[in-house]
Amino acid sequence: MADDESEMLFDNSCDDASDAEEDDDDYSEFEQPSLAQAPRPFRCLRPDDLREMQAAAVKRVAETLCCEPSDATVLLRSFKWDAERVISSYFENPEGVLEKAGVCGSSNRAVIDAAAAQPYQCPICLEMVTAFSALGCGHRACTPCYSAYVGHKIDDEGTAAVRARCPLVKCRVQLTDALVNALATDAQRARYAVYLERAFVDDHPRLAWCPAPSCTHAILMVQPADGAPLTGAARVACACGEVFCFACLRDDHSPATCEQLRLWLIKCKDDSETYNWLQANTRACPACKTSVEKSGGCNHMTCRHASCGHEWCWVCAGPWKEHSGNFYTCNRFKETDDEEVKRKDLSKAALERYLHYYSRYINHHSSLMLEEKTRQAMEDKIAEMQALGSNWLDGQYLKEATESLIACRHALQYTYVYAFYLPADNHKELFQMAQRDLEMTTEDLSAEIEKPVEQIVRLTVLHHQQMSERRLANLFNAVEAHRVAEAQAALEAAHVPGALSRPQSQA
Amino acid sequence: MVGIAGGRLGEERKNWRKDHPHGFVAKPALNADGSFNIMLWECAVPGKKGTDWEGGLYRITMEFSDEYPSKPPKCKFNPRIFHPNVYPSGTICLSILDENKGWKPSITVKQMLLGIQDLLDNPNNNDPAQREPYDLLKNDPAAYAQKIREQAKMDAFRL
Repeated sequence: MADDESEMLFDNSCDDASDAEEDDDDYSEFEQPSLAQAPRPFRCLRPDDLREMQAAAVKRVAETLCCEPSDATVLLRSFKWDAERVISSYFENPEGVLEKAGVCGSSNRAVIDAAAAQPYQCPICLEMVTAFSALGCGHRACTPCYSAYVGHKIDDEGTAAVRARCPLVKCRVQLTDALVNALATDAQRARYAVYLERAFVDDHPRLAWCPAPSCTHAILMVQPADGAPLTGAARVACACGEVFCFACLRDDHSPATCEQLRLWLIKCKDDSETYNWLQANTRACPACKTSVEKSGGCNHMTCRHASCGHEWCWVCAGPWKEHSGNFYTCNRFKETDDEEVKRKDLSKAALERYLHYYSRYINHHSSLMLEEKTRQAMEDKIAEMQALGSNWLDGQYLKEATESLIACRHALQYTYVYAFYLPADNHKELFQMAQRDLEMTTEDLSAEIEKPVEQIVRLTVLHHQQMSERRLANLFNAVEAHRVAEAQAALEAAHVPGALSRPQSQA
Repeated sequence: MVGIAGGRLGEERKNWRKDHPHGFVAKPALNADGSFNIMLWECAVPGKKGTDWEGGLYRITMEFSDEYPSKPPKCKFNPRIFHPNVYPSGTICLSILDENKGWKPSITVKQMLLGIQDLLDNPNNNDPAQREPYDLLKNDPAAYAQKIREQAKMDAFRL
């Protein structure tokens, strides 16, 4: 991948133990928009890093506002963990901020299990008691009742427990973690700690949990230098190997946008039955009509039936001979000309258009599934090479090539989603050229590494791999450049209102 | 709070007998053997004076669980009433009676009943629980008011 290098830096940075504020500075060097498609800088955080980051923010607010850390935590939670905003808002309007967040001023401390001078009626059990606990609001309840209340919130309400309030009617003061930890049982305390951590990541706009099952890491987006809002798709890689989109938490789908992918998936769900009906799992060899099942990732099919031996492309069913050089055009859909559109039923044309993109999308998708198998097969090949006399280290290039291949297929899959939603204009032409080039080298690479061990030529593999990587980068650059240009055009149009709608003077 | 439900309800009963709002009823139900069932209360709320609900007495059962007061009692109009926030089963849809919304263990029976009385004339049509009253209130408020006045005069809601 083009951006592998920069990503490695971020992945490795898990080990440095600096706090959140420093991180932003540490990575400022990556924030310069030097390349059109520079990856958005991010870090992968382990549970320990998350705790540190949280503690650092709490410390910063507690020290600046001279308040209890547990009050600082509540304040931060109500401001989505933006410490600077907490501080500036507090100095503008201290009472308002405290009231909104449900925090009592520092003069009113919480009391845990004290004895009152006079017996009073506990508002929960209605007994006359002296022992009490209370938050800064001063609303007393006897300690067993208070503990039971806290315990009930943790046991029955899940993450919502972190937003529990004083048990008194209408009181909006938030329970503090200090009070909860003092009153809960050990098991509840442990669960509460998990909820606090979960809520921290859920509430923080620049954090997201890695969606991989049982992964405990979270991804931190480093704030852009210009303070631009964090919206839109962003490819991030977790230290566990999961690559996903930060914005929608789905599989990485560049170059398509989150919205395009969403629409596409809905469309696929609605229309794929038709597709299934139209195209079964096997395809007929164009020459001898024998059913052929695809067993590897490569689209270069060679019919093994009897004496047929016909070589064809799985995607377009055309002869493979036409798939070298600049004749490789099976990635583009021939937009029908006017007359043909008139003849054809419009809905049929739309379906055809969709099926064109869908079949290529799903084809790369299933190839990708097989590529995962290839990953294991590569290990076997390296072992086989060792048996033939080369050493283990020499064979590692095959592994790298496989990773490149998977990355290319992954991107190719979503290029069809992107292209499906592109209007037929010059950008689409250019994009499809880049897509065709990438598809060609990807197939070359796939074919090369699927050869028997003794036929694999290392230089050829490296050549195809480099070409694929470069073309992948080119494709992403084209997409990004187009996005930037469009955004600029939209901005200019907004600056000159009426420039486009001004009535034409007489011709 | 296991085990405190009984004690708390005993205290609630004592406090109610000492002082309660005029026209309201709240007392534990009788078991078949004549003893009190402290976990099931029979209550009644009068319609507020000057509202379309005036003159009616609306009966409510409150079913307490062992987890009370951690969890609110189940409150039902019996017989059920015509009101947008009352389910066809009679169950009342009110934030202070919802464990996940406004319930706090310090809310007393008195506060619940006053809250329910207030709900009668202040329906929340954004959170409907019964279709007919919702439709009527939305489309024809005058007919809705008429229907409520008729309901207050029905035998089932006599004092």
